[in-house]
Amino acid sequence: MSESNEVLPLPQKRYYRQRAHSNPIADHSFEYPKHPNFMKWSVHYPGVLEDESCAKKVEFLDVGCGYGGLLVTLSPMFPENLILGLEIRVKVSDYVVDRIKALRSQNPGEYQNIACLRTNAMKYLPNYFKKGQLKKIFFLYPDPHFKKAKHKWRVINQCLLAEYAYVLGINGIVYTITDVKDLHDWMVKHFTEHPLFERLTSEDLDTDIIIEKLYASSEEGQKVSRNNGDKFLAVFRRIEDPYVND
Amino acid sequence: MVVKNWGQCIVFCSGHQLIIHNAEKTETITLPEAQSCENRNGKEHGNISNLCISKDSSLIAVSTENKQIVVFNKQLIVVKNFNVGRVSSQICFTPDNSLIVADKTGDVYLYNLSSEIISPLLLLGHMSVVLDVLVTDCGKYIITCDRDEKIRVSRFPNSYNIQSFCLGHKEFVIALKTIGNKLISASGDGTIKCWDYINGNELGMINVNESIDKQDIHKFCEEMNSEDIEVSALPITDMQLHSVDTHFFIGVSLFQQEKLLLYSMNSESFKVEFCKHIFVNSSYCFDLSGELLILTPEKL
Repeated sequence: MSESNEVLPLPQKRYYRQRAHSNPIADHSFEYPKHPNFMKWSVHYPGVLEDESCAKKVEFLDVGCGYGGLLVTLSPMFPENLILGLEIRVKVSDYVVDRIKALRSQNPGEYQNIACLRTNAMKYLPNYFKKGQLKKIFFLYPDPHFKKAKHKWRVINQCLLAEYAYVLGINGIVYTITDVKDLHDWMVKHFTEHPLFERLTSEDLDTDIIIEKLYASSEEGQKVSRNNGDKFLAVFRRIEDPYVND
Repeated sequence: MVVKNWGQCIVFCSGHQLIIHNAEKTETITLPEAQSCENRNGKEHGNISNLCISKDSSLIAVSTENKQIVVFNKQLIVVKNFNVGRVSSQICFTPDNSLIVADKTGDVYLYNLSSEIISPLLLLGHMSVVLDVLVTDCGKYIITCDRDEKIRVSRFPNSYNIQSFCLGHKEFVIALKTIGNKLISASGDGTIKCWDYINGNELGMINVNESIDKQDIHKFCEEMNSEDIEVSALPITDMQLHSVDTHFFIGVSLFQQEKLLLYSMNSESFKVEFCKHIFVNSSYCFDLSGELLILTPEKL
């Protein structure tokens, strides 16, 4: 797909406002591939993938990418990796798509490695990604769904961790950050209890150049910074299954 | 309705009764009272929704619409009678005679029947109702399918570790059967698919809608579309499998079709042949395991 050469202005957020919460269990009408083989990635990364025969695949995934702050930050840091944001809210994902389009038109040759899709990550990850395909998954400032009855709407829960472990390769990394202490404790509890993940120590994190960006690059993160709020970070590694079944 | 072959007997259910029939006699068993009052939806007895038999034929389990699970032994004596937290959608035995219960919210639990206190262990969860569940004969995998199009193959008992997804159906997946390392699935999209379940690759497919009257399909789709539900095929309601030498014999029932369709699939080339229709003339359920059993509201 060719893009026009016209230089586009950055989209204005006020035209893309939407309620902050979305029900991930309801049947929204989503278009999604019935199998990862049917996904047309070259439409989303036209500057990198000439067609579907290219071997290059998405390796970084920002689940609930919001307005796309992390994508834009990571793009020049990891020019060789394809980075994808998923967002369930239709207007917000439209904003990110328009933002990337504008950035590409204003900076020829740049921001070709980032894209955003509207989808429900809690339902359709295996439709987009093959087993072990991803190297990094980000959950930045996820919706805390405070009420106990809505805990099953949380993007981190015992059952869904199995799907995240499925799409992550061995040694793949999951980053979580939130300003809600309760949610942080919940996420740490579930990842720690899951046999396919181990938590990284603070020494492990010292050498990771992404960490400092997590505090600032996302819009939610900036809002929290402005409010002088606390931020809780936890990072986990996908490990081999310790259970051996012969 | 469910009907199963059980050694020399045929087992099926009617309302809250279990009926066992053999050449000599027919025995009717009423389920015992549920254990506590709180989980019964206000009903004395719930209708039986599912029936399953252990691989060694030593146990029969039934689940009811009011969250009760009852397990009988070979002498038809109740060995377990307990309640589950949510209405179950499907039950099955593991090769070592533990019971697996899937519920309407998509969670799948393991119940160890040999322990004194019956408590559930959460194995895995889907985002929509689990319509069928099985543990492979080797005991190493648990396979589940849901109201979306998903078939998930997880290791067993370490079911947090997903082996593969078998993706390609376009509607809900209603029934699963395995034979060796192959999986046969039936879907609301009107197709049967054969898979290598270890890696999730599709090996063969039967479009059952090709064997039925186009007008029936058209009529159903019109009806559904008038209610804004987009469909393009007559859904499969049940599928049974029996394998003989190099062939799988696959029996299929379709929504509102008063006939059973029988196919054979070559287990190496996956070439499909249509064998025959069997007209039933009413709604029915069936079991295929060497013999074909067809149960209708009037007769067997």
